Amino acid sequence: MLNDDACLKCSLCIAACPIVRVDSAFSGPKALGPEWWRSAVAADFQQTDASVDDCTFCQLCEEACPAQVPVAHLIAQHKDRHRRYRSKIGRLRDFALSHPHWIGRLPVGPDKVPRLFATAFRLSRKADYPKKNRIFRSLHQSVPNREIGLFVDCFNRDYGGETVKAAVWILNQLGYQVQLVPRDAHCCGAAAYASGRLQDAKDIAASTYDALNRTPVSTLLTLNATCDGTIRDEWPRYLGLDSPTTVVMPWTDWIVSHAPQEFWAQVSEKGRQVLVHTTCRGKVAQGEGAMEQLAALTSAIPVPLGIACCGAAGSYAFKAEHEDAAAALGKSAKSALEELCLTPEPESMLVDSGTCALHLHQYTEVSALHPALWLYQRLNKG
Amino acid sequence: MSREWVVVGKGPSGLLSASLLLDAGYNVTVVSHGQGSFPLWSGTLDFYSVDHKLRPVTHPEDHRDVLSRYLSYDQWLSGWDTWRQILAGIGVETQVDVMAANLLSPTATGVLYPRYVVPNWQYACRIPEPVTVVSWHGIADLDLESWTARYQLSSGLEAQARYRPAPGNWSPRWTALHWAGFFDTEVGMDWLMHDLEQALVGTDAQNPLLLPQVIGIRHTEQLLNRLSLALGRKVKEIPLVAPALGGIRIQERWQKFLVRQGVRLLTGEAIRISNDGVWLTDGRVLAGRTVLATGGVLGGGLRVNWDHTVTNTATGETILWSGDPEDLPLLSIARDSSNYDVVGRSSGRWNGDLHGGAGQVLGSVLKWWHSVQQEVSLAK
Ligand SMILES: Cc1cc2nc3c(=O)[nH]c(=O)nc-3n(C[C@H](O)[C@H](O)[C@H](O)COP(=O)(O)OP(=O)(O)OC[C@H]3O[C@@H](n4cnc5c(N)ncnc54)[C@H](O)[C@@H]3O)c2cc1C
Ligand code: SF4
Ligand code: SF4
Repeated sequence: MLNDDACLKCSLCIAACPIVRVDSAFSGPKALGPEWWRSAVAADFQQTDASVDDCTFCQLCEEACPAQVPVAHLIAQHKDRHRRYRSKIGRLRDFALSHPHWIGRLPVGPDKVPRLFATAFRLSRKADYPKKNRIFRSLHQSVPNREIGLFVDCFNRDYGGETVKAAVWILNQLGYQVQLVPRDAHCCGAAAYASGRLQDAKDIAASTYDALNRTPVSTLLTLNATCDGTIRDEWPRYLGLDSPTTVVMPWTDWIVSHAPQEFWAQVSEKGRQVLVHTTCRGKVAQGEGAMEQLAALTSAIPVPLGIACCGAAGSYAFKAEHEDAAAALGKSAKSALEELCLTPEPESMLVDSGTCALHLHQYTEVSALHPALWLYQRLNKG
Repeated sequence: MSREWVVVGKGPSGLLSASLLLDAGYNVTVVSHGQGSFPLWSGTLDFYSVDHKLRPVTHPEDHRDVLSRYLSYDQWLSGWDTWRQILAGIGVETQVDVMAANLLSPTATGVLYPRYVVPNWQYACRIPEPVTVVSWHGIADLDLESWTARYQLSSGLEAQARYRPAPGNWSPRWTALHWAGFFDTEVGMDWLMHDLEQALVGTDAQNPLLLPQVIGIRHTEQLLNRLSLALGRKVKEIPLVAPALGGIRIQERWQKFLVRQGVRLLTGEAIRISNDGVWLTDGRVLAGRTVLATGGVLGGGLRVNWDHTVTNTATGETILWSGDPEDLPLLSIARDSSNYDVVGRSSGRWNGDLHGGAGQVLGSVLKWWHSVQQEVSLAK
């Protein structure tokens, strides 16, 4: 890429990295990204740094860089090179976790996996795993008027059925026909990319791209910030695919800018405090503020949690070797909440990712959910 | 006047502009494609702290002439207070005696230097005093021997130094952030407390204890207070080079504060400024009156000149915009655009590297803010 070699050594990336702060053995983005790249790729030096696997691929380092060095993507290359040093069982596990849409096809949810089994497969024994909650069959029907496409990501297809239902229902209320795409289980490729399986990421993304082209839509709304950024920004930049539609944007941003005043008049959460956590990938992809706006439109008082990354990072927290880092970040979410001294304690937290919601709920005990589901519940009280 | 404002850039000048707009009740969106330069500074506000012969200036009055070229002296006085109040609002208390006389605070190399506004975590004094400094092997950015030598040279007073072994989990890859992350944990804090008790044996309890600027990220003030109580002396930090915890703390608290107050903090690259608003590379258009606070870390970036030309500050090349957006891949300004202002490092006419970047930030933001207020009162 153009800016691979553009590092000025300013260290802003290190300042932005959440893992550097909780893991004293982690070498940090500057060393693992541009510095490694200069020695390894540019100068053909084969050594890798084992701590590279502890990077969450949150991309906050890359977002911070003034020279636009693709810091996190250089780190992903580094992870890819480091693969052969991992144990067989570790590689097998990473391969499986890189294909979350396959795991979703299993008859039982990951929450039912016996903890003993977890140890054998080097899965975390501390993390909460998602419950099966498939999307409803009836929603699979294609609608003749293809006005708007809702991207059903691997997580929401199998564990976020209620969220998808809520998102569709609200769009229907606003008079839009919704097409759930792609038709069957696919993944944007983010999980494989984050694990440093670059070829897998390309293959998985390409197959999803083809699937999306089979059911073309002009506007594609997303329910997960990682998929949102991956499809809109990374597909063209790193995975050699052009954008599947003219508009790819988060469901929340779309609702905030399209729903009329009358719609918001149906809900009043006046005076109620609602926590908001924009995930790291959400911050990188679009920034902060849309979920706060949504909450404010219902007259609720949005309270941003104020942390960079919760530590879930897709399947990161599910890996045994990340137990401590994921727990440390989860605990800092808890202390951030305590520092806010909110009374009464807020009942819900809006989060733009299912895995992050699971993780945040585990550590803060606040019900964490997608804004679509939150809004749906408010509109269908009783 | 439009209620909607878009600030491009989240460096010090972008955040300061956003805070002023927010206070005045405008709707503010901040958009940036990268981190601002806060993590490069220790957090002190300094400008024209030295005279034309590079001699320290102890009283800002001495610079009345130079300062007045930019803003009136009274505007500086009130602006200064605004800066301090805004910092207090985001949770950063400062030690000041506004515009009376500079405080002295040592640099990363040990030279006592006049500073205008200094956060509470950083050591500053009115009159030089003897100090005790403790650091650890592995804090590469602080060479204690030369630090104390320079301190003694610039203050004429003693600096007792104690160099200690690094903790067991230290690795050569540790940066200031690793240290700070360690001290933010209970284990780290226990280690620190224990280590300092040993280090201070035989040192003068009257002296303030100075530690490198790595004492935590989120809870620095509480940690320093705990140390101070336990050790029975004043405990403060001395700044290090980048990544500098002082600036990082300010940046984080400030951003968090703005988001909490309802400011949208977007990620995106502005490519075109027009009367419709700001156009981002990903197709989003943000409507509103625009403040360009596009600065440039390490001298890089774009400087938008008052005559609408743009200078690439890295190469010094002046870019005259032809009217075709293709010609200016980074940022273009529509010819008829009257809807934007320029602040901060981008604003030109001040050498931030020589005369203090924060002064440039403060001066240019205040100048812009006064003109906005004038416009408002004229409209009334
Ligand atoms: C190493 C170092 C140490 C320093 N230490 C001190 C100190 O201790 N005290 C002091 O007073 N001064 C110091 N300075 C100077 C000071 O940091 C700068 O002069 C000042 O911070 C500039 O701030 P700014 O807000 O104008 O710009 P910046 O902080 O550079 O912010 C620019 C912002 O604009 C964004 N941006 C740029 N172009 C676009 C675009 N097209 N679209 C979207 N966003 C864009 C960037 O991503 C960034 O967020 C130091 C400078 C350096 C380099
Ligand atoms: S932020 Fe960018 S330029 Fe600065 S050290 Fe990191 S990679 Fe290099
Ligand atoms: S992607 Fe995130 S975790 Fe990985 S180095 Fe960058 S900031 Fe750190």
